[in-house]
Amino acid sequence: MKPSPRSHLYRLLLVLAVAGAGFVGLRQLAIPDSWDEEHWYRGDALDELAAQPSRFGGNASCEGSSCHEPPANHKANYDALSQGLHAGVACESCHGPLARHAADGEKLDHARLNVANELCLGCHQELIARPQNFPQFSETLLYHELLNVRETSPCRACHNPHEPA
Amino acid sequence: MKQPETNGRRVFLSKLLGGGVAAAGALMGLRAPALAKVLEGPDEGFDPGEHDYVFVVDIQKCIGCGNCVRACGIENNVPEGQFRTWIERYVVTHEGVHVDSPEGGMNGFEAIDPALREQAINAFFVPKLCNHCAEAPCVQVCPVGATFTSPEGFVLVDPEHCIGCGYCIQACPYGVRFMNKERRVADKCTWCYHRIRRGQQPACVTVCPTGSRSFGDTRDENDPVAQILKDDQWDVLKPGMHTQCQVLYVGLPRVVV
Ligand code: SF4
Ligand code: SF4
Repeated sequence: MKPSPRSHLYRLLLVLAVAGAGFVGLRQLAIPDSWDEEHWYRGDALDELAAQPSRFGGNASCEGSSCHEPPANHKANYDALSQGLHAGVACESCHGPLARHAADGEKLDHARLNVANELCLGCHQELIARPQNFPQFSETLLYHELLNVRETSPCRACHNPHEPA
Repeated sequence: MKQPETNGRRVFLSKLLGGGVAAAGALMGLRAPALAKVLEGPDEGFDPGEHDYVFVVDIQKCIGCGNCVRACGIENNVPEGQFRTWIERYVVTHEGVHVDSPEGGMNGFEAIDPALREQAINAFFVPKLCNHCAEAPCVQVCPVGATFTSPEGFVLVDPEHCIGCGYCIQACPYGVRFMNKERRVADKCTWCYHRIRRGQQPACVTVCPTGSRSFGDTRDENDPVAQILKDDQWDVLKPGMHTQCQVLYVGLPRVVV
């Protein structure tokens, strides 16, 4: 039998059809199931991102707790803090992330703290870019001069960080 | 969901004490179990359509302590040497403006050079982070739709979908994006999306001791950020880019870029 005079066209059409089907198939595979056609993102991404655990618990983790009865009194420190000059400072500003400190009634991790005076100077060292009205350490302050307080002296010898004055 | 226990002694102790501790905890009114749920669990009842979030930075309150930068790195596992948020120190003189940000301000700042201090006519700290632009250039250029605007108006990166081409990093006029050197995908501040959905504040806002950083919902009348909008005394970075930034700066000196 003689081949059809248009067989080259049929062959071309076949190749195009296979390529087209291949493209559509691959595209289908490449598009994630939860793709949002309207807003152009993978819908599942939202819940996946939201599942990231929190490391910082916020003051809610310390507030109202009855942990640590005296002498290591969590509650007394928290109450003092919320009334004093450091009222705006969160527990975790100095103690670091505490979301993992306690869970299910168990203590999981220590509340770490750097008690060296760098902790205090991190905020209170005199720096020109700091707001003028922000209390900044000075060796020439009257009391500091009288008591011979240097930048290296332990702040906590006189100041209580939970109730600073 | 509870994190799997890895510490053998702790597992043993918890089994030994399990019942007793649980009972004691309940008696003492510990809030820890409820909290654990908040910190990792699902966020039922969160309706994305009902919020309009803004982040407010008050320049006059920042003391450059770096608490925010450290907290952000811990909260979001940001690789060492990379930053989702950072602090810049501006020192303005008649001769020019000096800006520095050693390690993103992570460990605070040293005193400036005494000669420079002599010349300084103004000095202040500027916290920086992603502006979550309503018209975000990064979203426009992403070829695969891995950078997108969430229904709540957050600009987010889908790390599973990102191909690491880096176009978005080039497109951001604020330089807040970077290639995460561990995950090899684009990374940046998410406004702590995971925390917001749980009703928490962003990590940096949580630890900022001076209230220089705040975050809130402008649809909520009682939210402090609503007052900032009423006062109408805020600026955005590079307004000429028309990106509709949602990080509002209060007291922003004009030299800041
Ligand atoms: S909102 Fe979260 S991710 Fe953004 S700068 Fe603050 S701590 Fe970092
Ligand atoms: S924690 Fe607050 S005051 Fe300290 S550097 Fe960050 S924004 Fe400034």
